[in-house]
Amino acid sequence: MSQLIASFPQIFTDPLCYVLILVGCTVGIIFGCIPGLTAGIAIALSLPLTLKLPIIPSFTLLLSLYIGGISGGLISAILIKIPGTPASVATTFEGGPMADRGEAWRALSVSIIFSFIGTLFGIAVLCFMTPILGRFALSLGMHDYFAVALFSLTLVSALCDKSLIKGLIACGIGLVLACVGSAPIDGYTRFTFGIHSLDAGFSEVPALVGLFAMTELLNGAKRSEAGKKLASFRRHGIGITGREFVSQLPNAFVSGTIGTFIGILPGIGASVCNLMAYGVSKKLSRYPEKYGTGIIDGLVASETSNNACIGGTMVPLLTLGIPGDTVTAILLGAFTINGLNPGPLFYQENIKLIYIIFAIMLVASVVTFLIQFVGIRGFTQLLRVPKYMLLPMVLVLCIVGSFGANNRIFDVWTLLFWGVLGFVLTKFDIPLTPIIMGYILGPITEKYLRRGLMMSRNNFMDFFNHRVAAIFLILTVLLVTVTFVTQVVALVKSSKKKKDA
Amino acid sequence: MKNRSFSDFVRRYKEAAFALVMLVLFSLVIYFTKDIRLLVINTTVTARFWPTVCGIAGCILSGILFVQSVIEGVTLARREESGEIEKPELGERFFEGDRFRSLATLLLTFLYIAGLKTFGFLLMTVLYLFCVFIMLAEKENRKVWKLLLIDVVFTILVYLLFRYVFKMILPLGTIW
Repeated sequence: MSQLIASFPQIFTDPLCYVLILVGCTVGIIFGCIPGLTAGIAIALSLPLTLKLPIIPSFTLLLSLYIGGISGGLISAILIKIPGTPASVATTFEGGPMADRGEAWRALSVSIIFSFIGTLFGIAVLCFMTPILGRFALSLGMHDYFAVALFSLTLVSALCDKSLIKGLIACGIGLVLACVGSAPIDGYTRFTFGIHSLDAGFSEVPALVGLFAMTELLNGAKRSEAGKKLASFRRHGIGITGREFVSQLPNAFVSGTIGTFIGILPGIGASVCNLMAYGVSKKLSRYPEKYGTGIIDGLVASETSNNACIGGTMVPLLTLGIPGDTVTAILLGAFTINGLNPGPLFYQENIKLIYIIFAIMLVASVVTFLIQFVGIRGFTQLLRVPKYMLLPMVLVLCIVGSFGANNRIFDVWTLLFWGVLGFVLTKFDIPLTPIIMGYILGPITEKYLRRGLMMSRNNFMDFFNHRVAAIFLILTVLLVTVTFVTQVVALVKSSKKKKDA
Repeated sequence: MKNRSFSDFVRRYKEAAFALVMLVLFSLVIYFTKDIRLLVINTTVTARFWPTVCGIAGCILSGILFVQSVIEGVTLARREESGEIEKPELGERFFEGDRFRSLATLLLTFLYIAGLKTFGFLLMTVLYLFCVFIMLAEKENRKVWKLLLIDVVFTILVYLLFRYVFKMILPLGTIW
């Protein structure tokens, strides 16, 4: 703790750090709230700038962009029901209905507060448990990663209330679309039909943005919808009462733990943890039927987890030199540029720098919180723009973002393809979120399943010999059984009711 | 009358039709796995394994949805014909309705993306936004000059912000 406090003067005595934190957080929020642009793109674009900066200012800029970018996704997720980043997909489930009811102010406030708490939670875990978590992350193997990914996939059931079958079909569509491109391990292409642009599969961001933004635009083209302004809003002070805040703390704690844990596992990241935390929160809730109608519990789960994930992803980076996602891969590049090599010895040899990094993250999260809170009035002005103008403008920004990911028109076609797919599927009441779950988790599950089986010489029972894998596999079986039994009981009850009627 | 019975049929069995299409698509996934080359041959879990599992699972689920939807459709038809429940009103004609507006928006978006490579970001965005604004705005909001001004200002702002502030590359056309 004393080392952490001693690190603050290093930031506060340099005026350049003030400017970089402010610029980094603001630009990060802008990139986060524009669908298609992510924290990863913002960091990649600013990496050349950091070449000319000393190490502390360069990390100040990069980490501020990271924290601002993840937090900024909540703004568009709530106001226009289009997640700004994959990390805020679950925020749309509750934020959208709340904005429709005129509670955009409250939804934004709650999300911003719990985003901040999530970031603090992640940083606290990072500060006090990094060495232990680093050893834990190192002890996990392919079998464990597979079991966690499989468990996350089964949480799809929590996201499909109307029809479990339709939700599972949607998840299947996502899994199949994720197979397009190079197969994990052997790298041979699958289902590309000679289109070389598909060799690396569909890019994740254009796919996600197309599925939500394009579908929203096409549905918004309805006569009844297009002329509407988005729902007007009411101010509610800071948006949450003291009692509500206290009642949400256990939910935030569970979601923060999920976010940090998922962040530690390389390759899974914030795109999954917000959906996983939402699913778990719903399963543990006393009123799961209210989820999706616009309650703050879902917002708390999503926003706490995706921000807590930031701290989690830094654990394998700092202790093992393993980047968990694109952003930490770029941060690893920034370390290397400055002549540092994160790894097992890095933590002991550069303890001062590590605590300065923690301090930068803390200050950046406070600044992001303040910018967002002050900016709520400005963000909600978006609600005054009529839909017939807002949605096409947002689509143009989505196209800029999709093109910017790899600078190729093919990604813009990807956006259109996924948008049409989403639009068609909504006509048949197929939920879209399980598609994203399947699409993100499919390659991870396949990769670790194949690696695990190769290590176990095709013996699946060997997965149960690994402690973490065994726990998650048992949880998976329990979850599937409980869901199945609940559905059957509900079916029997409804048919009885019909007969009685 | 013919129209009415056709729309009733579509309404009752559209989910069954969807399930059938999904059944065919998932079957095709299984069929096309044979084209996947195999590098690791001394293991049962090859590059074909996962798509095959997904395809089979998809087929089973689509089959279940098909049977469920047909049963629901038949039950609904019986109850509607016997007068137990009322048939819903017929929807509006295609060219006056929401489906036409959605499809026209989709077509405009398709043309916009197709034109980006030739005409570039600036020109295509101005054209696209203007057309979509005009099409989606209600008659009383269709003020051409106002919409054009908003369109041009927005496009230039986006261009300047991303091109010169964020230093991002935007689609360049071969003509402009």
